[in-house]
Amino acid sequence: MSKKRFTIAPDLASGLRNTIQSASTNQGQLHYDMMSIDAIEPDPENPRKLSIHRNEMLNGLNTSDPNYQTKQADLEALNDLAESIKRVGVRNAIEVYKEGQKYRIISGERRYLASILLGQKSIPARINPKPDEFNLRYMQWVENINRQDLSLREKYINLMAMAEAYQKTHNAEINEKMLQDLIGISSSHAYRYYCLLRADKRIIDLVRAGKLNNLKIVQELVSMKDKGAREQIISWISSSKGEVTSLENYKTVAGKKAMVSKAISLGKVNNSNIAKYLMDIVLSDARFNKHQHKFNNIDWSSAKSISKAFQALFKTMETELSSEEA
Amino acid sequence: MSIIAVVNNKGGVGKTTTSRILAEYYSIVKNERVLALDMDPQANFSNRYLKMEIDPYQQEGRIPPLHSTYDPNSPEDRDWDGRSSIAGIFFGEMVFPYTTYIDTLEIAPSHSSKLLLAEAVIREEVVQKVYDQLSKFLTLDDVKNSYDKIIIDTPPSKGPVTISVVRAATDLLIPSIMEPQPIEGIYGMIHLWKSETLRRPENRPLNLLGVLPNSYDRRGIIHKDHYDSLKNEMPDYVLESKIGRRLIYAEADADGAAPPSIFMYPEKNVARQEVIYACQEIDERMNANV
Repeated sequence: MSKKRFTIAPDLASGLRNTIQSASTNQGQLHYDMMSIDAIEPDPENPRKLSIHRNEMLNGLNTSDPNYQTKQADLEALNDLAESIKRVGVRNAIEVYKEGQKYRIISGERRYLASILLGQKSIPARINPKPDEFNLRYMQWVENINRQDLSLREKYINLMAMAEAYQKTHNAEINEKMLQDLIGISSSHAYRYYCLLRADKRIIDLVRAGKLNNLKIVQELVSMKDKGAREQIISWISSSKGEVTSLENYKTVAGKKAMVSKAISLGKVNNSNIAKYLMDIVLSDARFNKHQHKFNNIDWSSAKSISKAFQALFKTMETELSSEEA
Repeated sequence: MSIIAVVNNKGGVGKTTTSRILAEYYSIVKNERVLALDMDPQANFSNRYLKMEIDPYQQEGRIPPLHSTYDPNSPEDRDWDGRSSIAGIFFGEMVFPYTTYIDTLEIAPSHSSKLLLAEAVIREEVVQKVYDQLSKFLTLDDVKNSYDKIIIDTPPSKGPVTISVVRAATDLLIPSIMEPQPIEGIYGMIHLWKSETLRRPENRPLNLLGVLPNSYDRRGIIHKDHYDSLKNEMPDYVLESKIGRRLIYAEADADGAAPPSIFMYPEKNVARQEVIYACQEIDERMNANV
């Protein structure tokens, strides 16, 4: 019989190994601290910019302010957040990085403001190494993108900031594939964001005004082939009062389908003689009689043959008349 | 200034013995200015250097003796009861270290009931009241300029007091017996080291000195087998040197032991030699990561 040997239990052994491995590869990755509110400042270019300023938040709003309603809504949202912070504290640390003497917020401006509203002296913060411009915008994008309440306008501002930063740091235009890789979304979704990125100014103005808040509609507009119909729809949307949630109604009256609806039906007759009479009158006209030879083989006893002949006649007349107009 | 924390959440694995050895090595052998901190409510570390007294309000607890500089008649000391412990940092009190029989060794002793109280604060208060208090104390200019080494003995737990020690430390040493249960304790400490490592900024890492095998018995195979398999799992973090199972360590712990420190034994003494070897290895590991 062999001598009894001792060893560490396998799960404990792998636990030790994995823990050491994780510690040595992730050093400093979770640098959290309770940080004084005074040491923190918001990002002046935060894509989720609030309408109210810090002093308005603390001293109350002016009812004669033209943006009173938006500000009031922002303030209420902050108060709700403050109420929840009061109950359970700030559950998720805000993200900051060192900028000069202060720590600047990457994400968590609302938690920060709500904490000020509550009179808190400190807030949990995760301290990051200073990101480059592109990574900063990218981190804000990641933080924001899955929010339900983020408007397309805010997404656009973030996306543009990210694209500009990408251009600056990588010296290259951001493209659809990069968007897909960066944001980790499906190619069709990435295509929509890409459309937003290269949309012309008139469409962006609609996004900024809050009249377009749906990425799919932006994509439809940007990729519309019929430029005339597109221009028409854009001006319709800009004259609409609120947000436009679907293009269906516009599409049926603009562009291709609009042309079809201009067609005039000439009705039906049961007596083939009326048809023959009309045909003779038209073909006797000086402008059309040179086409007479095309209509020699009509079977006047067949409704189908007559209808076909009239289709051909109308086509000929349209061609003839439009060339005359031109 | 290096801050060495001696940790293991299993009791009886040699935390206090190791703390003593390090405190005495740096003060007696290296002649450095050492401050010993006893964060364990059991106060064994303190008792080696001070005559700890029974807490009149809690018979099983210990409180520090009256401080040598305390003068009840002096107006300066009017608001002070004459006793000072490291537990004071959790209660906004001043800490006055005590001198010991070793010239360059001072100690801020334990205070059982206060340390137990700090350990028991409710979750919401922990961060402000406990976690950061020790690092705040140890970064005071007065402390930084007065000592070369801080040696901290800790309670056998993973509670708030131990966490405050880990947050303040520059170096972590885990003494352990090479047996299944103490090795589980190593796992707990490695976890603590990991979360602290992830939490800290990169320019202030927490150096894991490693596991120091203690009470090591060369006669059987159980200690050797566990040592080998531990070394296999974490090769960089198990020390080569071992503190053997010897009566001399218990004797040096007894009241009135003569000589009072292992470093005062004759140079040929085997125990003294193995302890010096261990301390040298620890010292090298500290400097390797500076």
